[in-house]
Amino acid sequence: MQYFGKKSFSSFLYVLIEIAWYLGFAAIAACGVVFGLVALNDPASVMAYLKGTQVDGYVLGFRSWGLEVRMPLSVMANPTPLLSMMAMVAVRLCVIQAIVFQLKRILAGLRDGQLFREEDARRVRTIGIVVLVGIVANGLTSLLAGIAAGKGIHIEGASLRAIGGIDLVEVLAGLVILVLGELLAQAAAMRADQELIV
Amino acid sequence: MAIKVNLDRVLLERGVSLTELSERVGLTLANLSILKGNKAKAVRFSTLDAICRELGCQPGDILEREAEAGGRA
Repeated sequence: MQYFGKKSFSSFLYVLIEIAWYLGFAAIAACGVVFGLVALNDPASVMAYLKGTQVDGYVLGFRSWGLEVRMPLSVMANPTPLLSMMAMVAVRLCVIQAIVFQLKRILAGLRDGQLFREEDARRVRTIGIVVLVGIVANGLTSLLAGIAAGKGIHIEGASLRAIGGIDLVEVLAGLVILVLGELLAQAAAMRADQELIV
Repeated sequence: MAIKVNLDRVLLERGVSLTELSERVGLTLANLSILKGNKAKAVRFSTLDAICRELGCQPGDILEREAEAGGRA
């Protein structure tokens, strides 16, 4: 299998990433539309609208620790939890888009057969930084969404408590990406040197 | 750089063009131009050997160490 150049694995990945790039924008736009609808319109009518369009009339849901929780809209006293969840999703999508953009540029270079470029090293390091910043941003927005959900969702007999925190595995992944970026920078420098050896 | 390449002078003395030398030693014209223009960061022994063989000279005829601006020879 050919990994670099035209009609290679890289060019196939580039097409996938390109699709993900546009889907990401569509998802962010969808978040914005729902956010705007809930924030600017009468919350009751928007919630009634959402009830009619969502599967089984459920719009609130989260997954954590291998558990998916879905709640009926009736448990929501006000639209703040929905807004905060939309904001949380939008922040995550923005982080993903930033990573996808850098990957897109790297894969474009690989597709064209350009290896070990200083530009790619810089992009890999940017991905590492975005991952680390994204972890903090995700943690904060999750915490804020959790606080909003705790105040705005009332389920009889259940207590909701906002919890923050960061995923250490994700932090490790971000650090590993930074190290790989540095490694690529060294490789790019070696390549530049190699080009001037006759 | 303190190492100066005198390839242009040796070529002139031997009456050999850079294109002709590139064909004779099997190096690309681009690489020889890098060497001639003092842009090369390193020269392989095999390259130096081929150039010296074709031009009938010694490595010292092509490479020369210049005294640095600080004055150390």
